[in-house]
Amino acid sequence: MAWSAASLTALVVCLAVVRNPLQITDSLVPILKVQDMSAWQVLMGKIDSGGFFRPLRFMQIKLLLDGSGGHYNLAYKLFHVLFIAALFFVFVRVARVRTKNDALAFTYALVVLTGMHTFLGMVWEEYAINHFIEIAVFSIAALLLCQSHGGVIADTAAAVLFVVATLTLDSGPLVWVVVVAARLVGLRGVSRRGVAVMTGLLAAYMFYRFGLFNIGAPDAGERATGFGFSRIEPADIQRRFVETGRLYYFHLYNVVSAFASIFLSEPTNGRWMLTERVVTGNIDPMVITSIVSALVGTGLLVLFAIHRRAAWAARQFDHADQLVIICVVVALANAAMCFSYVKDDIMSTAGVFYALAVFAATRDALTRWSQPSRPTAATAVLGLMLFAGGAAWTIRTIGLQYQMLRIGAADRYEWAHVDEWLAQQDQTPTTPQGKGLVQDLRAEAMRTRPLSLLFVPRWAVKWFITE
Amino acid sequence: MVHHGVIGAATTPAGTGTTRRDVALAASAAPAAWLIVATALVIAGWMGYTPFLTPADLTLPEAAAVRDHLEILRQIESSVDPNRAERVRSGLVRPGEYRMTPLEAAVASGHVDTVEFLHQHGARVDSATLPSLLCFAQLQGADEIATHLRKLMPSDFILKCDGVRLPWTD
Repeated sequence: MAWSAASLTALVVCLAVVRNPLQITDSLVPILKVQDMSAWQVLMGKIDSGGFFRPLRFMQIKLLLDGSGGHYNLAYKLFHVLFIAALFFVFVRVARVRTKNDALAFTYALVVLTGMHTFLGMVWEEYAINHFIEIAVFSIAALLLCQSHGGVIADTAAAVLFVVATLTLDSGPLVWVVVVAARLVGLRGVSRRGVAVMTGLLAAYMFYRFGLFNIGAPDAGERATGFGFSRIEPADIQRRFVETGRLYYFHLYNVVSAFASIFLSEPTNGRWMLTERVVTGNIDPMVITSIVSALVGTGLLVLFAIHRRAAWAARQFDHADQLVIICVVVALANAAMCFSYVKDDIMSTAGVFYALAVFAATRDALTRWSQPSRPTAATAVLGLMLFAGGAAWTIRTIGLQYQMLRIGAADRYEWAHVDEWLAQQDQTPTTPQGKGLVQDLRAEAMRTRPLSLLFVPRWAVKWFITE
Repeated sequence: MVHHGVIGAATTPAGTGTTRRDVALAASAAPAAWLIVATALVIAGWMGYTPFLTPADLTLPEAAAVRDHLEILRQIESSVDPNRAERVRSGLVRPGEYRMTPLEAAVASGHVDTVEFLHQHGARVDSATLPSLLCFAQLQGADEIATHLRKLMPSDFILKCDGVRLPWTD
């Protein structure tokens, strides 16, 4: 049942992904830039970029471009679909669904996974590859290795995952965080020696990034980000925090906001939009579903933690404990990576771990709260609470589909104006190959068939986005 | 290792199992319902039945009405006449179904960028079409489109909207 539910959910997500064209923003320019370079030149050209370290991302873009045989959309979409399939595969494996009760809790967790606002970042855009889903898959795969019986293969695979992840995206070190956290809560699949090797690799990465090449991290004020009830532009960040010497407050705000966004579904990209709605009395259905879903999901985690606190103090961790604790550690580490600016996409790996933790807590609640010793009223309250939470997360999952329709329409619009966009960016291709590539990509975008938003009723939209 | 994630059905006294099952079902009721609906939609889609339109289902005026510029471009590049009136299904610009040109559909939807886009790609905006489009925009209250169309108007042009009517009466 778990495999069926996961396969179906993955299929629905993949169908939404493949119906949409490749986006232009953050996608077309990298494709054009790597077009006339060799894979090696691409790799070497990106190993010392200021602020960011993602050489493998560009290499993947290059390899897919060259290997596509002219079917660019197919190549990039297929790559994305493979990672979506992989994400659901490792999600099921790590959850360890054994009983019918587990399967019901797992169905619940599936809508938490796909209903999380952070999940959107893993599926609605390609840059031209979606590197956020790659990091999520590598991190969960690392946890799977930690759950294994171990051995040289597990150690080697963990190290390879770490290297690939760190070369792909700046949040790649999360793989190391997962392995270390897993070991601390009793998962020995990756041996002590394996962890030591990975720690050595992490040290080398840090030395390379912050010492040798001084790549550093994105500067505060480099991008706009949410702050309080509004969004602040780089110039504001400079004026309010950098020039006043209060940058640490800004960093702290970002980290706390990013961490809270996993457990409260708020803020979104650093902006406390739901809270603002509640404060101003502008409450639409989406606000209610977000609040109910977060309260129930995180409420289950809190109840679970209270119940298991004695066991945790005695360092006794079962499978459910491990999933919950690793989730908190990953969320903390992931949030720390948002110190410069808060972006939901960056938190997508923590979002997947949150869904796993909710699975563990739900399974535990179903088991424990329906014991014969529990009063019927308490069991009924739990049933109502879970139903409300399940319904709210399901609405958010359907909202994901709606958002995919929206982005599909927006992407198609952009492709119709691609020449103007490239001119605005001062990126108009000058070579015949570059011009031909843009024309081919536009022709492929024309052939895409995203479902239309037309017949989504107005009342339904209010459940999916804040207007 | 402690394992407490599995229900021990053997220890459950008679009568409590139903409650336990009910709680589990309550948790998964909505997600399961979504999975069933999604399955039905996927299967229906494979069989050719879908409640959703795709760009390929749209006429050129409909593509203009919904601001699908890429579909407009595709159809014009496929030699569809950008001035031909075709049906615009109910729900796209108004509750009723109408027959209109792409430019009229763009005006009816209030999309000035689509009016510009159509004009750039061969839709006729001249002394024959301009009066009705401009009057249409004014009657619609589409000020931005009216301003844009006025810029295309010859300086000696005198606009008379007396005989111009909206395609709908409500």
